[in-house]
Amino acid sequence: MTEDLQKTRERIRALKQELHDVRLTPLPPAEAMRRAQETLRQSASALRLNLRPFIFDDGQAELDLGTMMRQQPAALLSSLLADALLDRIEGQLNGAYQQMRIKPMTAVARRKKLDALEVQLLEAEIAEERAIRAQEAEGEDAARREDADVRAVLMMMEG
Amino acid sequence: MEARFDLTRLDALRRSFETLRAESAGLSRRINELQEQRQQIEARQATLERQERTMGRHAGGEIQASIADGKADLQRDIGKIDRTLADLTARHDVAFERWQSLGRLIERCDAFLAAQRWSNAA
Repeated sequence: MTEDLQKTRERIRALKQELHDVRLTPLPPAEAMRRAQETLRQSASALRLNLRPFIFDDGQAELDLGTMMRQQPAALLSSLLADALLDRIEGQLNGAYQQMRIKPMTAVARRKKLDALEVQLLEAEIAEERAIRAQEAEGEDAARREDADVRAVLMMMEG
Repeated sequence: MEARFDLTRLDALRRSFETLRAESAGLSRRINELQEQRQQIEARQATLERQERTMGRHAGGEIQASIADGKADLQRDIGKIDRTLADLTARHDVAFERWQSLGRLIERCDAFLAAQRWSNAA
């Protein structure tokens, strides 16, 4: 393997590691909490308590908690405990962030960083394929990586 | 990035795949032949040892020396075969791994091109 090819492969490995790390970078606490609230709100709205069976035609209502619990347990728990659950999630998130050593990144910043890294990775993969083809043209043998980017492997290249 | 794909690349990869498969199979055959040769030599060694035991102290010095020479020759042959086997096995493992790995890469290329065709058709 030529030195250039080896260096390109080292760069590919490093870029893949960086992509992996960025994908796992946590969101800032406020953003994480907002997502937790959103998720909880969505599941709560899917489990909305149906009060119709407890309201009679004459407008009287009989809101019996026991019956509600038997008939719609998930909806009732969701409506009663949503706030408490959010408090608990917030407490756990705060605790986790205090112990965290990784600097959080906003979703927008993370997407931007991932896009930039993916472009760099594809460029490196193309450089690798170019080096392999040059070696093959010289009659030398060069193995391709099994996880090579197929866009680079199949790319039409000039010269 | 706008890219054009060269389908002849896939043909070239398939040719390499076939070459590696043939290389791997050839090495595998050669390894089997050598292992058979080794077993035959071991059988001859066992025969000589039996002769040695049967004749025991009654054999003359010349016969004993001839048997010892025969055993030493066979042992040298086994040593030579073992070295060749180690070399061939290492080469076979590399060729086999490259063949398998290239096969998986070709499968990914096929899947990618199929997805491209679907998205172009849609």
